[in-house]
Amino acid sequence: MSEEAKKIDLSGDGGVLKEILKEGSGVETPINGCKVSLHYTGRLVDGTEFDSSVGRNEPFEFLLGKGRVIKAFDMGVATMKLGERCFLTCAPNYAYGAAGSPPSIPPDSTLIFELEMLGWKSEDLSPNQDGSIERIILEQSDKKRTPSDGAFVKAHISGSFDGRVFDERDVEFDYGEGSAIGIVEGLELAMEKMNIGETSKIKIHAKYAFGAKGNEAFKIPSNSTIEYTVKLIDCGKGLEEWKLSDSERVAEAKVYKEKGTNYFKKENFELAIKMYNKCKNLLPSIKDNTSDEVKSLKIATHSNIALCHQKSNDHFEAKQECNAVLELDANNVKALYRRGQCNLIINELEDALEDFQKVIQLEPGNKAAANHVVICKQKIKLNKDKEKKLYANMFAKLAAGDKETEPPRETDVLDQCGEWSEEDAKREADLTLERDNIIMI
Amino acid sequence: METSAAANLLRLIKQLLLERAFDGITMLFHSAAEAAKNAPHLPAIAMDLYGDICAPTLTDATNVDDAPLFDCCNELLKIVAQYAPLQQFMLELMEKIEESSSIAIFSAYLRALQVVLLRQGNAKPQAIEWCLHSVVTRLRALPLPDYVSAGYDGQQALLLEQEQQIEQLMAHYITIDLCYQPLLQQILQFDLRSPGFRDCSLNRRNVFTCFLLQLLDKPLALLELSNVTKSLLDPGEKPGMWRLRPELTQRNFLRARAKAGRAQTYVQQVVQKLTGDATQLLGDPYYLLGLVENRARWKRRLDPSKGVFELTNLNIFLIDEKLPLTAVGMYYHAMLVGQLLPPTAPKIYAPLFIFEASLYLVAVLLEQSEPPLQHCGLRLNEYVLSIQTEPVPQASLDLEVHKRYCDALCKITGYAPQESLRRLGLQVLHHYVLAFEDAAKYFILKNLLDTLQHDGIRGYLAGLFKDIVAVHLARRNLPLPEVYCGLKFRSMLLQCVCVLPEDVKSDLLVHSNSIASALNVLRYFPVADRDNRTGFWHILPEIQQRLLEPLGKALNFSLAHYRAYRERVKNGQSASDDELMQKQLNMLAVNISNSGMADDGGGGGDSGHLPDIGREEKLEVLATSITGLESLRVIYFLASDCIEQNSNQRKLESEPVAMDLDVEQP
Repeated sequence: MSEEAKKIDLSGDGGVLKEILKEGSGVETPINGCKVSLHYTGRLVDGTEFDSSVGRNEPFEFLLGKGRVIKAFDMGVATMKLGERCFLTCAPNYAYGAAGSPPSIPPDSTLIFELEMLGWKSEDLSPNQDGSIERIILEQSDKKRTPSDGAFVKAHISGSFDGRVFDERDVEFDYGEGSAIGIVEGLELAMEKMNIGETSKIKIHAKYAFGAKGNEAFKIPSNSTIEYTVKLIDCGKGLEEWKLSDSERVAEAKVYKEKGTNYFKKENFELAIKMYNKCKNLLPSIKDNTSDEVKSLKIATHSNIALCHQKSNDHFEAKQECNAVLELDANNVKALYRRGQCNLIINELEDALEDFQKVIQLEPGNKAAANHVVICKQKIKLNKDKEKKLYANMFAKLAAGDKETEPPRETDVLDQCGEWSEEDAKREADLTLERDNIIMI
Repeated sequence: METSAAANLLRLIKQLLLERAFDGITMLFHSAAEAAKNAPHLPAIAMDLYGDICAPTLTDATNVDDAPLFDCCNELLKIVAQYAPLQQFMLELMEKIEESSSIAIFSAYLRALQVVLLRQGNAKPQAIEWCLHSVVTRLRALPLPDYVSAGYDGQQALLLEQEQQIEQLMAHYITIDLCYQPLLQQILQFDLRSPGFRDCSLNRRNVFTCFLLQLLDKPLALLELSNVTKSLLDPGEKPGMWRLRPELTQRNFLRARAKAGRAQTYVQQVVQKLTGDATQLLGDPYYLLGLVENRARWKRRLDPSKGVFELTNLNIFLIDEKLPLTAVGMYYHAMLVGQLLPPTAPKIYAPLFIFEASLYLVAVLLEQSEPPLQHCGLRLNEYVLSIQTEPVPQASLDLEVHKRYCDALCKITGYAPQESLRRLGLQVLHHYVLAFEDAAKYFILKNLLDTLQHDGIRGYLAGLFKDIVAVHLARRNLPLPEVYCGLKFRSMLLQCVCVLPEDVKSDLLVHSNSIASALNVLRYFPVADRDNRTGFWHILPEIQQRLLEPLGKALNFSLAHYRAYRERVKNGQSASDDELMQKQLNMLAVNISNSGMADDGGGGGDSGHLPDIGREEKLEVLATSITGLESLRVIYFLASDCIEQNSNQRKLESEPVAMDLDVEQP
């Protein structure tokens, strides 16, 4: 076979020729988007070496097919098997063109690379770079637009587990609201980094997919790693907040508030909170804008977030939101009532009582608040009785301790209280330490 | 027995210090026989030596009043560092370094830190990181003259290192360099890269890399102006061919490289050292550039439920706290603009990738409030533009960073207090636009002209558009690109270039630059495009209606007003005159800047009362305004003339047949 015949034309126009020096193992080659590790030495046609990773004594790493290296390099490396060694001859238009790269690469230079493929791995898209979301690009796109927060997204997705396709459909949603149409978090995170027109395979670990619960409908067991093949068909531009005037901000905020309310009605509290938060962040600061509309929107948003948190049993967060409402409107009955409820649940009984009493003060006929006042009082009394018992026993213990060197083991007051768990007991003990009057005793 | 021997040694050292027998103390640890005897006791008494002797003695007062004692304790501290319990002593050193009040104290504790870090080896990288962070914290706390942050010019830059505070800062940097050199050698020798993929986790090598890069950030970055080649700092040269050929700037950089090494400033030396050392640790100097997009383009969403916190990223180079983007920006500034790329740097990276990735860093630097950092951003951008071998494709504009970059660049170009910054900004803006393919050039210019408020830049960009079309018109044998003719050309001219913002009411002086540019465009195309390749002649009637006619009226009104007003000032101005004039102007609805009238609220700009200045000054201001308007009128007449003449010429050229026919008629 002639020497020319051994060369494989990779570009179709003779611009990138490959000559294999040592066959690699297996049949697989790296796919676009992979992180590739290799050794290379670049020479001019006269044999002058202009660049070498071997000389640097470390392999060269780059993301394949992303235009990070000269075209010929991307093209050639994508055809290499593990362990393969080859020569790559690159015409100027696939390298540095008519200009060259002074001073080492003269204008219009043909470059010859000697390559050795060391390995490759998928691109890690996970927030912690822990491999929990990985991408392999199946079809590259020249476009560079990617979905941003709030942007319209149109895609085709196909989810598979254990070789079985469990979810295949066209989807359209606003970026950030994927969960409303059953898009797992990992997929949405990956889509943020996809260009329009790109098709990719996304491998998602359980924590960004169906987690420990799994998915009964899709027959996905708990803690399963799944795969999605996604084609990003189109995406719009996200909201350019910095460009918005105050009135535009208010208008956009209302849109998000509406979205939040819709999700609330569907009992998707997580997304509802997300939308209300966006609404809240879009609204101009009260310092800059003192209009009643902005203030009432802020109050309504905080109040709604509080309700969502309550529904999700996050009572501390709900209380924070109520506080935010009350900062804007100290006599807001709804916020006072909700904060009272939160305080009641998190056992801040005195505060809860105060909140409900204020509600009654503002709305004397509010029966719900009146009922809660009764409950609060009962609970406070009950707690005081418990405390009495607790401290009576503690004093007894201390007194006994004075007399005996070894305290009797069975005086476990907490056990005697019956209904307390160990955690409650610890918490109560901590609380007692925090209360000034008790410290005085 | 051993305890008492150690206690005896401690007592002996204290006694020798009291007796000022410093040589004796040195002997205890430096003479081989004594050292062999005493060293075993040191672990037991190291912290006592530190607490009882070193810490109380190593003060500025001792350094000034009793230098031999200070030096002795300094040496003793280094010995203590060799034997003290590592973690405990590290904590002490961190505190002392952060609080050190002078270079002497700083050096003393840094020497000890060097010993401790060498002892620590590559274990506990987190502890190493905290120690190094204390050094960075100290540097950042050092006082600097205000002008360094507020901005300074080329002349001041030359004298920068004469300033005492800056001298102190440089002394700190040089000390740090001396401290970390042995550590660097140890890392390069022992912390070798694994044969597989790069390990980006928290390890000693990476911690050190981040530390060196952090040192390139502020405050050192604020001194970077002293590190500029003259041609860039003083861009007063004639705007020759370079205006259209960005690659020529590359020659400037290469020339600068050839000159490197001659009479370097301390800042240059420190930057060179830090950059070189960081590059040794990184291996591939472009490695960080590949991570920039990941950091700057996509916001990392923290999610405590999934363990995603600020510092939980397994790639240390992706954590902002460990490696701020400004530091990365300054690294690439040093590497590329300062020509510090090692000869072994990979040469296979695509210039477009370097451009796009560095644009994020440029945007970050331009968005900083300190002019020196903005300068660095501009120069980095200029360099990267100069290495582009092919026009940047329009697809690149999909990256949000272009918008961010243009916004920051135009702010600097229009409003930076330093003239050199504004001038460099304009050059870079010019290069930036020219670096793209034609469709993208058009897109950028149109967007900028649509959104920018700064009249000067608007005028410049309109001129640039004319220049770009001119280049294509000159190539008579090639068709014009789609964007420079027909509908696109029409839309650019009518919507962006030939615009009188408020019709006849426009404040001509506020918009004088863009109006002058528009008139120049109207002088150019009738001559250069007589064949109507762009479609200019089709849109001329609309231009006349929208721009030339109202502009003619506005010029007449404004000049008449200013001249009348000048007369009134000459004859003694009164408030009633102002009122009367205002009423007249309201009737005419002409809003004129510097008219001395109350703003009618319609103009924006500067229209309002002339400040309360003397008669002569007022006349001077009015004369300037009149001159400005007269200049505009001259260009206006020239443009009108040019259009008329060429229009007639075109008619003549296109009507010979009709004339023949006329002749043939009986």
